[in-house]
Amino acid sequence: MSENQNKNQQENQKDVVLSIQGVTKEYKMGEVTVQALRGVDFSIYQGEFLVILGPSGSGKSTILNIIGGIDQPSEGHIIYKNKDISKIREKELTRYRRASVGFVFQFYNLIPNLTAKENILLASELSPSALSVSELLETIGLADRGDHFPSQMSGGQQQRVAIARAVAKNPEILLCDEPTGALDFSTGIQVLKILKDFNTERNKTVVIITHNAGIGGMADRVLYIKDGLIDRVVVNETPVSPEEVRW
Amino acid sequence: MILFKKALRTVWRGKAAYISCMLLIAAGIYMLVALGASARALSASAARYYKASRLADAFASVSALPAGALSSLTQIDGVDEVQARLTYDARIVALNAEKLIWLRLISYDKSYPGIPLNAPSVTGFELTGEYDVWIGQSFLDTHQLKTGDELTAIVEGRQIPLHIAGGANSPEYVYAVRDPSDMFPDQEAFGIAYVDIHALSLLLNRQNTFNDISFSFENGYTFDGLKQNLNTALAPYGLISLIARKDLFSYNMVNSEIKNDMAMSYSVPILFAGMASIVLYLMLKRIIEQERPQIGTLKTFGYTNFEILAHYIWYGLITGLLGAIVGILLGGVSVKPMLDLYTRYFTLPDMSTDIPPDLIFIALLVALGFGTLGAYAGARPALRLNPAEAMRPPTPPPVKGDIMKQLPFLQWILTSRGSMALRNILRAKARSAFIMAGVMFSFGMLAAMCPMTTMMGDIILSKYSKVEAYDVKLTLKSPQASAGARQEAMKLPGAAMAEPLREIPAEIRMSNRKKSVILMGLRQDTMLYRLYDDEKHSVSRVPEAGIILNQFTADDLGARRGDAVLISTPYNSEEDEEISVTVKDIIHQNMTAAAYMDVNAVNAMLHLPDTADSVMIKTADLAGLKTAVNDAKNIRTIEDTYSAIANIKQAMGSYTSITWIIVALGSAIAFAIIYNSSAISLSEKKREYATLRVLGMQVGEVCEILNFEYWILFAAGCLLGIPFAAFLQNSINQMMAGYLDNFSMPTGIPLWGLGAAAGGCMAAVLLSNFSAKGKIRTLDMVEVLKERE
Ligand SMILES: Nc1ncnc2c1ncn2[C@@H]1O[C@H](COP(=O)(O)OP(=O)(O)OP(=O)(O)O)[C@@H](O)[C@H]1O
Ligand SMILES: [Mg+2]
Repeated sequence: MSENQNKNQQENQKDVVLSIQGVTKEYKMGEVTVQALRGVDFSIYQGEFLVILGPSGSGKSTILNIIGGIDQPSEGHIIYKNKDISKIREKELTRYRRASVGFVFQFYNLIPNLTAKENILLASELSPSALSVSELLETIGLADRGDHFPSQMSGGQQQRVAIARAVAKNPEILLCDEPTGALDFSTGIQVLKILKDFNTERNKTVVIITHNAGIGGMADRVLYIKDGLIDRVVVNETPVSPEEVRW
Repeated sequence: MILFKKALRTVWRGKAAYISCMLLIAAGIYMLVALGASARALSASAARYYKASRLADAFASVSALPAGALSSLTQIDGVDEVQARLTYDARIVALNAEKLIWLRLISYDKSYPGIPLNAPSVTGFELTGEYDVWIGQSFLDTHQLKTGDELTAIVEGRQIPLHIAGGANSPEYVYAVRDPSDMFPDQEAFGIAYVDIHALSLLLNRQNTFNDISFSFENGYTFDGLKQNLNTALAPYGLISLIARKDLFSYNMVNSEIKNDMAMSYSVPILFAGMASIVLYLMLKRIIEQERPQIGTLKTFGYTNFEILAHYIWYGLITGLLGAIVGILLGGVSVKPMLDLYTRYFTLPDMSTDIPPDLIFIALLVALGFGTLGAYAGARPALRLNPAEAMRPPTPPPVKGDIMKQLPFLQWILTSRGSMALRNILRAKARSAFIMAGVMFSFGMLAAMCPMTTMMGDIILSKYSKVEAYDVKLTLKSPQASAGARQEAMKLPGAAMAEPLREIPAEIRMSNRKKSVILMGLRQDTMLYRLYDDEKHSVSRVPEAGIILNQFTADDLGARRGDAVLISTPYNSEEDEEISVTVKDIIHQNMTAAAYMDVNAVNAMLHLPDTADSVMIKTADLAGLKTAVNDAKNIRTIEDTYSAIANIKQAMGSYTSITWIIVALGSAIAFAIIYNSSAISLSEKKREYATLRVLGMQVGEVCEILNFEYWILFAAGCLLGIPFAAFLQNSINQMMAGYLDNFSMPTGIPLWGLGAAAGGCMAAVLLSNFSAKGKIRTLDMVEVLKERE
């Protein structure tokens, strides 16, 4: 089966959640202009586990930020539920983030002044369909650490709290920028498992950015980015389970 | 909700900073509530009292008004009621050997139906016996006298036994001084005494004539409208003075106290809350910079700009609210002591210690308003942060050359750590400016306030040391030939020098502006009264012809040197109602409006013989002189410089303690600002210092860099503080000038004020350094470096 056929087949079977069309991004720094994205087209399907792979500086974070509505493209469209979120006003964009997107950052970005539980509550308070905080703490295996502050936890624990916080809103799309980047192997696996569970158990879309090719193995689809362009898209017929991922 | 928790926790973690901000606000609110509530209580009580006791609308003093002339006064259009009384200042013997003690005998007409004008409130018995008197309650209290006791007064040279029938307060003597020049009441030296009118007229041998007339007006009539008619009507009876109620010294003092306190109760809180607002603004601005990633995270989750802004405004609101609560509570309990302080000067009934609800409302409005304003201004940049941008640390500004390269000589002066400190200062310009502003603020405030503790006293006492070189001034009952008066004075015990002078109440006019002053006629070669200029620090000569005005008089008239002014006095003849005189000089004095002329020129101008109505004496034997003149018939008053100074010093005591409280508050503020700014700066640089420690620097070495930074900023802040202090002082003076007539504060900050300010700031910097050292010592390097910035 050729790649193209496969793609068509998938598009027919699955609903598109997000459609990215001709997106470019330039950073102007005085005289110099950096072309972070040079025209990117792709779709994200409902319920898929998408991994975006690429070398450092290729534009992965840039595209994720644009998808998540925290940055604007220089050109192009991002269509979510028939609405071009690259064109809407800040107020509506905020509403989009509030209702539909969950974000996991490479450096956790927990609020240092709030406990693990409160960090999660911070997000769940924003959503009417929020998940139970105590269940989430259970899921990430930190039920007994709910009252600890970020500075009292290890990096892996902090990242798990950050994921729980992103998931807590029960968003349509979960966007993760290098979720395992700062973690050791086994902690990384743990984190991936949580993400996969969210994907399968709740049938939500998960997008992961990484430069770690091994993680590609557990994806439904892998998007390769290079120099601000999509290099290729690979559909994974038989994704492996997180435990089997190796790097 | 969770965000609110975060706000609380952040405030709690940085509590020192917020508490000092809160205290600033609390101090302002405290003044607002304590002063505001007491000024209102004073105002309400005074208004009630004046109404109930029917304080007159105008007061006249005349030589002799026969009873028969009263009905003609009542018939003046607009005059409602006329009260005629006799008053006489009698000396009391044997109460106190050191002090001259006076009672102002005021006639009281028992037969008057209803409530008379200026009705005394009396506790005690009716005036039945011939020499029964009601005496001012505070006078009784001070001398521990009670109903039934006796006093001996000297009236017209006779010793009269006064029998105390009760205590009395008068609406005319709420602020009881014998003469406006006394400034402060001395309850021991002066009191009032009501005597039956028949007894008093017999004593003074003035049956059916009066010397003190009060008027009340019909509705719709004002003093200014009636003044001309009253003047004309009273002139034939030897009019000495005619004043409106608002110019009655006691009334005026109560009013200006109310005005002054009201103004202070608004301006001080606004000043303090404003400063708190600025500190909050700076703090929030730094917080926003520090919490960039957090703000980015919140925005990424979909928190709206409004929610984020609201979150940061909470910091200000919490601070403001706590400040308001503390200030209101402290203010509430201070109202009573405040009112007690008032009652030392003002005799007024039932002052309410309640705090009016609108005052609490205003307090909350001010505290929350300024808290919100500062926080809002500081937090606003958070709105502009783009979330993706915010997640990244801010781009450091491009380094524009190195100061060490630009100014190579610095390398010779500074150690490597010194140059590191200097680079640090220049790199973090905003932070450095913040600390410098803190020092500047504090320095300016202390430098402007410290001198105020002594200034008021200096002004008043300089009148005695620089202007009035005499020891005693005797006022004569009737003018006497100058030469004779001088000769007699020189015969008094210890007299070394004596100078007769003229003191004439005069109205000076220039085009349509008028000013009432005491015109002093001095000898050209006067040694005992010097025309000292407080600004030029020099003494002016009395000119042979023409008049010297001080700037209060000149300013009110708009007069300049060389202008001609018109003078009218009770001695002017009919055809010569106003006499033109040239202004020879204008001198700057700190207190009271005045005008000076040569005594011979005054006499010539008013066609008076060579006479004097007062004599100034320099004596080596003050006590002896006082005893000698005690019973002299032609002496109306004896004014002695030493008792006046003693009385002023005593009264100044409470004023000085108030200014010290303000200075203490100022120091606390200064300390809060400096301590805060350095604490904030330290928390921002934690990472940097931790890195230095990891590199192997000792605590002492890190502190050296830090201290160096602080001292450079301290020096710069102090330098900037000098002009700021001058600006502050100028504003304070202008504010005071607006509320106090004929009173001006000297400008210029004495060296000791600058020294005290620098010392105060230095103490704060030292303490900040000390606390910083402790923080650096206990710095948890692992934790600090683990946090991602
Ligand atoms: N704010 C910015 N200003 C200027 N250039 C930027 C900015 N943000 C990103 N870039 C540039 O855009 C390009 C893409 O950056 P991006 O962060 O998307 O890379 P990435 O693929 O996420 O890399 P990494 O794996 O290292 O995180 C890079 O060349 C980067 O230097
Ligand atoms: Mg990246």
